[in-house]
Amino acid sequence: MSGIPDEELMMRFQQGSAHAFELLFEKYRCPVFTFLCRMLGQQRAAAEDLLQEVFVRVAKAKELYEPRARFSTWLFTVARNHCINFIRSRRYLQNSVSLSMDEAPEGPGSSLADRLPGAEDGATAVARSDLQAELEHAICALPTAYREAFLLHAVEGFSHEEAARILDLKPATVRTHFHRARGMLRESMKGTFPEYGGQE
Amino acid sequence: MNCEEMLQRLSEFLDGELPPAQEKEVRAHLDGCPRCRHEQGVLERITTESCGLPLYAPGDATILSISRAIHEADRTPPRTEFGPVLTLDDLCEYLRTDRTTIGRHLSEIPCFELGGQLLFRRKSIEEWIEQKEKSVTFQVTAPTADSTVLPEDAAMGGVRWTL
Repeated sequence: MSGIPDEELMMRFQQGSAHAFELLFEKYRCPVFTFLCRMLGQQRAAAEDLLQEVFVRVAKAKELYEPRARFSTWLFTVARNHCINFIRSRRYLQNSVSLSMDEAPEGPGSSLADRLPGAEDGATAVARSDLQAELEHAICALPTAYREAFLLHAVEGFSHEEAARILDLKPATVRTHFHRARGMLRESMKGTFPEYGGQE
Repeated sequence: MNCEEMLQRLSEFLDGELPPAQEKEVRAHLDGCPRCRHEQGVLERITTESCGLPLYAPGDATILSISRAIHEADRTPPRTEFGPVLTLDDLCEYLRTDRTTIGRHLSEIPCFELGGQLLFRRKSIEEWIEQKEKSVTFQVTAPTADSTVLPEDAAMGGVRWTL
C-alpha cells in the first residue's frame, strides 16, 4: 500500500482498515514528532506524550476527516492545536523551568546539540552538524507565532496557504510571520557564516 | 533604498514576492552593497539548511505505546455518530449527561412526541446548543468538598461551574 495517497489510506481507515492507519502513522510519526519537538523547545518527553495524543485523537476522529483536505494538513492542524494548548498549560511552564535549571551547568554534554532528541537516537537520526545545531537553537528562540509559521513553510514544506489553514490565520499574516522569522534567524546567525564576508 | 529598508525586504525578495518596482530597487542596492550581499548569502544558506534539518524519531517504547493506543481507540465505537432523530437515551449520550439533567431542562430543549415516545431532532438540538453557547458565561470557583457536583446556579445569566 506504500504508493497509495494519504487521503485514500485515510478513507480505507474510515472503512475499517486498521492497516491503512498504521501506514499513515509510520509515514508521519517522525515529521510530526520533529515538529512537536521544535515547537516545544526540544522537550522530548512532552513531545512523545503529545505525539500519542495527536494520533489517538486523529484515529478517534476519523469520521470527521473529509478527503477534500490534504491528510497532512489535517494532521498538522491537530498536532499544532495540541501543541499550543500544551504551551499554554501549566505542564509546559513546569517543564520549561525544569529545563532551564538543568541547562545551568556548563561542560561536556550540556550544549544544545547534546540535548537535542537526535543525540539520543544515534541509530535513527542523521548526524547533526554544528551549523544545524545553531539553526535549531535559533529556531527554538523565535516567538511561537513566528516559529510555527517558519517550521510549517520552510521545514515541513507546506505552502503559505496550507500553513494558514493549519494555523487558522490569513495567508498574508502567515507570510508576514514567516518573513519576520527568517529575518530574525538571519540576525541571530549572521556570525555563523563568515564565508560570506569576503564577497566584496 | 538604504540598507535597513533593504534588509526588511530581503526575505520577500528571495522568494520572489516583491512587486517589480521594489524588486528592481533591491537588485540595484545589492549590486552596490557588499554588506547586504553578505546578508543575502546568510539568508539563502538558512533557507537551504532549513530544508535539510534532520528528522527526530520517537523512542521504540513510545511507538509501541501509540500503536496500542491507536488500535484501542479504533476498537471503541465512536460516540459522535447519531442519526437525525434522537431518543432520550441517545440525547443523554449525545450531550454526555443523564436523564435527570435532561428532565430538569426539558422545558427548553426542543422535542416532539410520537407514539408516546419523546424524540429530539438532532439539528434542532445543535441549534439549541449554539444558542446556549452564546448565552453562557463561565465563572470558575474554587473546589468544594463535593467537587464532582456541578450545580446549575443561574449566576449573572449563565451557569456557575464548580471545578
